[in-house]
Amino acid sequence: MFIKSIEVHNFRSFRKLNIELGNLSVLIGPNASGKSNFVEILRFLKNISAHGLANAVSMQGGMEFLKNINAKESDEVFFKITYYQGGPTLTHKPTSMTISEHRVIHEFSIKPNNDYVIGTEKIVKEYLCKNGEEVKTGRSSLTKIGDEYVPKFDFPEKFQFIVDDPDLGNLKWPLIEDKILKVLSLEGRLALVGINLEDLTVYDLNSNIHKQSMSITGKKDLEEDGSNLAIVLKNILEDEKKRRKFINLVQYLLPFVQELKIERSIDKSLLLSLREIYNEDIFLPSHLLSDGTIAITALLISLYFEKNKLCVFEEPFRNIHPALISKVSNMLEEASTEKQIIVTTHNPQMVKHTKLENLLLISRNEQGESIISRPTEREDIKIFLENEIGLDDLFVQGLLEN
Amino acid sequence: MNYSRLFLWVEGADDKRFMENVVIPRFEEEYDSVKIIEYAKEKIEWRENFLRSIVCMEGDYIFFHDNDTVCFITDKENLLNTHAQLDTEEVLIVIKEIESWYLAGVPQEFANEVGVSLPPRTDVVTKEQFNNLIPQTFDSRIDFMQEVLKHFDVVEAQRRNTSFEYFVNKHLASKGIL
Repeated sequence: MFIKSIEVHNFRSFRKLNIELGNLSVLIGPNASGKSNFVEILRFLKNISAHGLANAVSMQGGMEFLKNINAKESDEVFFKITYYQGGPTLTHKPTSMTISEHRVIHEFSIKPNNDYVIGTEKIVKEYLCKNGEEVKTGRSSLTKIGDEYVPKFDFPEKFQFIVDDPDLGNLKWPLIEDKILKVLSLEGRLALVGINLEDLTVYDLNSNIHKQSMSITGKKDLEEDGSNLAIVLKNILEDEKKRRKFINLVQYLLPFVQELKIERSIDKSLLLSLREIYNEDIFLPSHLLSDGTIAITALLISLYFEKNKLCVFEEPFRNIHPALISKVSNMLEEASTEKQIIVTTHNPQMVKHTKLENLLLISRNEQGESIISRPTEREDIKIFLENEIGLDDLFVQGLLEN
Repeated sequence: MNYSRLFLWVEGADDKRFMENVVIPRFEEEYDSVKIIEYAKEKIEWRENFLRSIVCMEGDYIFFHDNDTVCFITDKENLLNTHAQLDTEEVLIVIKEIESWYLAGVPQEFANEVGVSLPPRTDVVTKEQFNNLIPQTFDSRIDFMQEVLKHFDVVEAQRRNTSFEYFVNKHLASKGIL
């Protein structure tokens, strides 16, 4: 799962948004510019796929709070998500011709009433059809017309026989997965189940929570607020290979850390403690550790040990010293080769240490609508950079806003 | 038509607040973008690079500076001697400090209401004198300044402060803005 672009109309502070995302996207902007609303787009899509449309709308506070306040009464809330899902490649053995999933474009709108009903919906899957050096594009689509979802297939003639080949069995129809059709046939429900957003995790690592001793029962994966940090860390430290990697990563950021351990207390709770190089005899319990140490521990786990493929971090640098930000930035970049990462921040150090192509600027226009742009698209920013004015300087001066 | 930009160079937070409330709204019709740059804590090399950038993008700027010496001409010369990129026409010396401009625009009615003793002219009012004028009903200087800006009277301010009058005539009235 990899989101390539997001187009949204009339959702919260966004009147019209159309933005491309890379492996790492750092969204920077002042307070109340719409950073959290951007995260809410992803959370909303995840909630639709997990709980259905009506629940997802309700979790936003209803259409009243979900819909942009400048939108007209008749305007629909619209989403268009382009993503890679990594589907199978079909190989036609006699000819060696292949068909592989390239990208999926899913668009839908929500009708402007209180019934939370889908207005329009369309899923297009694009396939790369290869015959030796020759590469062509094939498409399958599912479009909502009235209450029906109508499939359509458009493949280059040369590849059509592969698609129609009965010998390919269940692979002959890779185009629309069974589960989508099944769900649709049940109640004409939103087909967003086609997008697997269960892989999305929106981290808000509040260090105060992790400082307490924690219950021994909890999820194996790190919770979005890091509240089960001790459980997750316990599993890492018990695995020799993971332990070595984790200690190396911690020491890269915090060279004074010698060892971490998780202790089980008599009330069956878990407590994180840490030994520093300054005193080899003492393990400091988590409530004596700095907020930054705890935040870095949680951040490293989420970046390097969690299997999710799409991570969002909201203000992850709150408790981190500015001098460490360049290293954290380096780690975000490294981790983004394995998973797609989106970071929201107003930390100027992060702006300074992020590659220009990974930065997204968010601000509000005169109507109060959030706008996202790239610094590489702005002529004035290019001139400032040529004259050795850093992006962080421009950000601190409030000059990156549109 | 090119995208037009104006950069207002100011020394600190009090200047910035004044510009945001009094100056920027009056330039919004004239320019596509009006931005403020706080320069007091920036190195001269940084300021020079920034000024060069503005010239490159064919933007306009006004460089506001406090009247630190006995004569504002000396202030201007000092600035030009240290900032090679600075255009003398775009430097505006605020006499005496931005607090003088705040006080200049206080309407008599508001002064009476909150108990501020207004001097007839504010050209010599310093930061310290301004602070001493703040009525006891305001225990926050920022609160008082915000309240002053809500009631700010540009015509009164021109009458009470020479440098503000110069600013209005040169940058607003001459362009038909005011």
